[in-house]
Amino acid sequence: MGTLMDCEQVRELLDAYALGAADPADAAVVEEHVADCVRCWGELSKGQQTAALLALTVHMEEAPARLGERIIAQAQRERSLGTKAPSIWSRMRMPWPATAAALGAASLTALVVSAFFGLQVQDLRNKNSDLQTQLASSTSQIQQQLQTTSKQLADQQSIFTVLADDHRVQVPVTNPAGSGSADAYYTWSPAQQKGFLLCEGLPALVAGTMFELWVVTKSGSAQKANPMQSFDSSNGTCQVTMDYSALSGTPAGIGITVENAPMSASQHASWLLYGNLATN
Amino acid sequence: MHDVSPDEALYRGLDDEELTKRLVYRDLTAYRTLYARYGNLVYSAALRVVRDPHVAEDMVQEVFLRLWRKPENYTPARGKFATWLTSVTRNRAVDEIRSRRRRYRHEAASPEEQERDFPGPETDDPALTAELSDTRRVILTAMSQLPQEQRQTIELAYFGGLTQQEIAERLGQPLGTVKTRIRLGMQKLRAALTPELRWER
Repeated sequence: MGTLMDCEQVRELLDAYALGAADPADAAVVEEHVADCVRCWGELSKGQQTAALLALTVHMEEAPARLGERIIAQAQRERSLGTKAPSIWSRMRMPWPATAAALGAASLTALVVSAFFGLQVQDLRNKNSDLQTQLASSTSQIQQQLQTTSKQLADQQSIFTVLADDHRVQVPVTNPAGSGSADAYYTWSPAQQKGFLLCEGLPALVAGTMFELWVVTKSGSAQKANPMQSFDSSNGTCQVTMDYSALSGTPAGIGITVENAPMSASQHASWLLYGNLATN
Repeated sequence: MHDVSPDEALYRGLDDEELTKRLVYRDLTAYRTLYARYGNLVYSAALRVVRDPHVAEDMVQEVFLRLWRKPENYTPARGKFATWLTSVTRNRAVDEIRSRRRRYRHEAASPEEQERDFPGPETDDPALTAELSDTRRVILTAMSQLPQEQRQTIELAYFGGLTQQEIAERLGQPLGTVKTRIRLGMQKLRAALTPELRWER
């Protein structure tokens, strides 16, 4: 039934829904209503947080020792079995302007995005069917590393925003000494104050160290940027989207270091990779 | 399990967020540390719902494996890690018993059996962090202060995986009574929790 319910009526159903005990018809009503009603969504959220806390009230039992051993051993096995995926970058390594001419800028854009984020064809917007056919055949050749999560959907949106800017800038981000196998490309929109960084060949990390991403301003201060959470250690690739509208100062450079201290707030190590962002 | 290496001693000082960040880098020591911290809690939550130690072990394995494979599923926006992990476990376990009920016509635990599982506020586990113990104490106290029929109904719903209709049938009560008990009970819990805990989001 498509009966519209008002907030008061829906509020009566929220607690049961939060506990997972709503009857299917009531559940459907709740879901439909909170999709449009922020106030009720907020109330539901509180109910869900309350319910989540209930999970902590369980009587504490000790898990058998062998369970922990099994679980750790399984993770260990999965880590060492990771096959080295073919380099995404070498497949994609084409002079971007030249390829743009060959394929048409819009299709190159879509190809880059789909290559790195494995977008389902139906996730792409404003593409004609010819392009979709072209993409369907190319995404199947490209190793999918990242599974789409809601964060990555937001990232994809950011990337579209950057790619939609005809005045976007592409900057190579390289090792200052010219050594090592790490390589990166940063594409950004000065107008939108957004960018995305694609890395490859990142070195394996020693225990206790982490990659950190920094934006260096014209005044020379290095500010920490988004966490590099999509680092894939099996093939050394990484993708980061950045919205630096909240940055204080004009961005002049972007760089990656390998830091020792957990969650270090200031840069200690020297640049593994650095790219110059200064526009004129 | 084994002698603590200097690395592990260092990791024990890291908070949950820091450890989950490191999982992205395939940091096995971080994973070990998180299991040492929350393995028992996850097992206990699973056991409470599925009531079978072997099935509970499978649930724990599944939950931790998912965490290892997709650490990015947890973000601080989802609340405290411990709460998130435990409620994810409960959700998975409820899915499991509902599926088994459909397949094998398993009976849900009786209200009396559910009652026996509910610990008093004094119950504590020395392995839990101080903050988690505090949170546990607050919610346990709040639960113990509910009128029995409200608490029982909420437990049947949350840990028994029963819908309101199923609870009504089980207890031989009108559906309206069940709905009211859940609403009033949850209302009281929210009121008790609000001064102690900041609502995230």
